[in-house]
Amino acid sequence: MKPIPIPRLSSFSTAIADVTKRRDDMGAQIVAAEKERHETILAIHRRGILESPPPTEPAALRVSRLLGEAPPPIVPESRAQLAEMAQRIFDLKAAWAILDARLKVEQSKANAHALAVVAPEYRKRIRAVCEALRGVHAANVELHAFTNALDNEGIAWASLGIVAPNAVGNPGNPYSPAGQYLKDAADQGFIERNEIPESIRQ
Amino acid sequence: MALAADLVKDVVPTVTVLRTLPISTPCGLPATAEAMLTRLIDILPHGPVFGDYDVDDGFVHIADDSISLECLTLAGHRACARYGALFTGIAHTVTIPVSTIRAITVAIKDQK
Repeated sequence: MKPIPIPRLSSFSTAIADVTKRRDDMGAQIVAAEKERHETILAIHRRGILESPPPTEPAALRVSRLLGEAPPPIVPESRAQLAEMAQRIFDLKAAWAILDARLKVEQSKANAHALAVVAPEYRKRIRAVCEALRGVHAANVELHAFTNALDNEGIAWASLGIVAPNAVGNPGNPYSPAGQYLKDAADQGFIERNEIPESIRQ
Repeated sequence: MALAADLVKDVVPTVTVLRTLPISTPCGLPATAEAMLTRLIDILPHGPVFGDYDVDDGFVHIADDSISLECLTLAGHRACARYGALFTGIAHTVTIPVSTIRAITVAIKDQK
């Protein structure tokens, strides 16, 4: 089979590669920032100066009350550090979302150019399927005419083997699979309506 | 808050009750549900930090006698700040993702 020349979306827009790289870099920064926050929390826990369990949990408060102790609060430095990290991750995610939206716009623009390039080949191949289907339909008409003539003569031909082309359908039925496919192709402008064999034209 | 009302005629009394609900879990957030939600709406367009909480992927649960903010603490624990009844049993509850509240507040801010 002839190799299919498929254009790359990036060949229609220089911005795609640039925005993709910036977005992926931002994604890597998010992963790194999440990792840093996780490690910071673990380090703070190891130093034993953070809530453990968190003081907002009713169970922790009840247990502390039974012990006659106040639950350990978050020390201000830890709170500021963790708040800064949460804010940075939030900002990175917001920036990532903006770049991702820009990328989708660029891909959409490039897609429009790509469609213009590939449309003729796509049309050609749909028409080839329609042409082949018309050939199958013609053979199907001849097969049915022959077996109908045998039936009319009372010849029991079933022992020869019944291999009915059910996937194509009855050659006189416009709603057969072949008729429906050709109708769809005509409705979308790939073939003219008069290119559909009359016996299966809707 | 009005989403917690069963009928349109219940909206005003439901909102009146819900907005004054006092905080039930001492956690440094504003003292009433209305003050908490007002503050939450203020901070959301700017970032996820709300007191000791990171509300980025949190939820607000509204029942007819309580409002809860479920989210992470800054230290990454799942936590719940509750206003009003501590245990609502099988009460009808409306859950709104904080991300949805943020999207609405950002849209309103942009319109202004």
